[in-house]
Amino acid sequence: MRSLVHTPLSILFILLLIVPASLKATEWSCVVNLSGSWYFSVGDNPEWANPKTNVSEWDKIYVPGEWEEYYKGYNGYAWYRKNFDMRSYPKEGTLALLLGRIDDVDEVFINGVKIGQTGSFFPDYQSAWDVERKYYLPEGLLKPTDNVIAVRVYDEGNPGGIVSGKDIGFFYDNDNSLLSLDLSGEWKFSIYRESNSTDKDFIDKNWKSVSIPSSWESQGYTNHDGYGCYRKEFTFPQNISKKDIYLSLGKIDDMDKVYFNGKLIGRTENLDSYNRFNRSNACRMYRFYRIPEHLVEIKNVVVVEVYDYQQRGGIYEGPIGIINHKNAHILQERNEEDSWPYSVESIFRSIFNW
Amino acid sequence: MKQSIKYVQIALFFITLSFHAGANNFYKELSLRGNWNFKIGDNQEWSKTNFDDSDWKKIYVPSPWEEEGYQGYDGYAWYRRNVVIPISLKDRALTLELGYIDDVDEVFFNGSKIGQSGSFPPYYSTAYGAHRLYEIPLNLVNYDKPNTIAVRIYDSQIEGGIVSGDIRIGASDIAIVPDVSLNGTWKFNTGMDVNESKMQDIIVPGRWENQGFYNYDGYAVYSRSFILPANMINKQMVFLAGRIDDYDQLYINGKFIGQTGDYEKRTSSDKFNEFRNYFIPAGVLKPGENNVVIKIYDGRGEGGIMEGSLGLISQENFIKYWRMKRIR
Repeated sequence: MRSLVHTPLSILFILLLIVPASLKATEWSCVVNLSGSWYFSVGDNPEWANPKTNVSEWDKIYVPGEWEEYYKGYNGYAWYRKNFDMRSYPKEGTLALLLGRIDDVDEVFINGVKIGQTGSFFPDYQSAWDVERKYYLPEGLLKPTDNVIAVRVYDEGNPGGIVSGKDIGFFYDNDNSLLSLDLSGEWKFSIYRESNSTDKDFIDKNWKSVSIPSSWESQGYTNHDGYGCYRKEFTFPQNISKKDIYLSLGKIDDMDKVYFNGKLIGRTENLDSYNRFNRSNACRMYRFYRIPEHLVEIKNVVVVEVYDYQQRGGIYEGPIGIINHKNAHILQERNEEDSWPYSVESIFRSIFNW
Repeated sequence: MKQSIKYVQIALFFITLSFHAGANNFYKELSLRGNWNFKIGDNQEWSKTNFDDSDWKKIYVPSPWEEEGYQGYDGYAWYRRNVVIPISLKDRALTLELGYIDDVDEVFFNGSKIGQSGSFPPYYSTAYGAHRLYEIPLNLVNYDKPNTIAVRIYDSQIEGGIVSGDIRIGASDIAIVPDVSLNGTWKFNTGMDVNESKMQDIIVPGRWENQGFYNYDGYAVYSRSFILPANMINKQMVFLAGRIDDYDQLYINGKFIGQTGDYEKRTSSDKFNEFRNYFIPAGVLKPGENNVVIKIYDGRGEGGIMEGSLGLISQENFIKYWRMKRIR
């Protein structure tokens, strides 16, 4: 954990971070609560991700909380494990795993499969101590009973572990149920401009994977401002109408250009709510881009080019997916009341521009 | 006014509370105050365990030797004594505390050098203001038997010897015992990279201010080689790098293993109180001789590898240690 109290400015920073967090638009409802007692061991062993590895001899500690409460002065790797049932799996919408704040870096496995990582381990170490952990699960991974979650954590120093969080567990994102097709989760990502990366047949297999919605800072691209490009290939389901559909990309920080099968279908500047004299509002607008019917094929590729001016960057808040006209309206209305007229960025920028 | 007194009281309450929380229930000590064997002059033979010092003079410790019958003496002298460390202290971390020594000292435990403060002529530099705290590597300890402590001292002027302070062995907490201990003599040079022409010996752990680099802030490199026993080649090993002030990077056999704090950007650090545990990826260690380099940046004040048991420990023993140390 990095101390923040170096300058009065950082205190301001903390205040700014706290306020909008409580106004977060996404509606969560709890499916499985994972706070409480977890198996815990210091050390590091890839075998511990395997559900078959017996951990009954491990220690038990309470989550969330700093592991220093039990292991004073411990820095380095440690693993958390817990078994859980998932009897009432939601029929539609998206299930997200929330793990609160983890200090410094974590990697999460469910039933032996890696579902995500925040921050970066050695040799390219990158702390993500101040990021709220949110992971989306691939379909078909969870069973009604006997699921095993394993969280590998590295702490560089000071407080370590799954340190805090109001919601720890599996949550159902109510907004996501409005989507016809959910596209949140793993996307290909690169911060380098390549001339043909928006083409449908561009080969992105060497690109890194990131999990969205989530800022790129929380996916290991700390301190990166400027260009970022997301790519996602998906199959269009036969049971969805191609008429009058939109691509929902939630909220993007700051500007974006969106391509569907190689054709530009929209950009921030085209949105009704965009005000070119106040670009700082861009990062809190909901992105809905109409997908022309004739572009839709069986295999499709969505490419989102993002330009971030400063601070947080990328597709940071959902829902992400295909949505029909009616539901897009519902979503916008539902969240309009919540949206606060001033974002962190706009306040921050107004301070600096002053 | 009343209000402010109340705040002070609340503050005091929390301060006491934090002291209680931090207090170590395990702390025990063996006092080494009193008579030691003493001889002026200098001879490397005097560091050895089996050296017969029965004809040496007795001297009271702590006290300047000028007050114990050696008025006006400047130069080299040695102190020796035995201490029995009870088996009840097994697994505890042992610290040899020698108060304040005027000017330079070098300490041997059962014949092995465990620490030094200041530097001897011809590159003389005093460390008379440094509190002498030396970690005793547990592999040197004979429990329930006499252990020999020998202290070589050089005094340049006025008072000399083990002059003041607490003279004792402190036993605190449960000790982590590396499978390959690397406490002792390392190579050291200032700058960002290993520089053989500037390299000199340094004792680890110990702040560099006490070892000839008074007031030095900035980059420095510690390096040494070590032999990995054949039975550890296939084990998952953890490198214990101790507490480092302020930032560090660890390299083994030229490969970057890990870092704490931002060594390159040098943004302000709050990691100088943290002990470093670096997990060594498979394939880095090799049979026989291995090389370790610790690069350090110290922003201000004291710097270097400050304290701790340095070395390599199998993950098995590392986990065992932390389970023992767990707060119940």
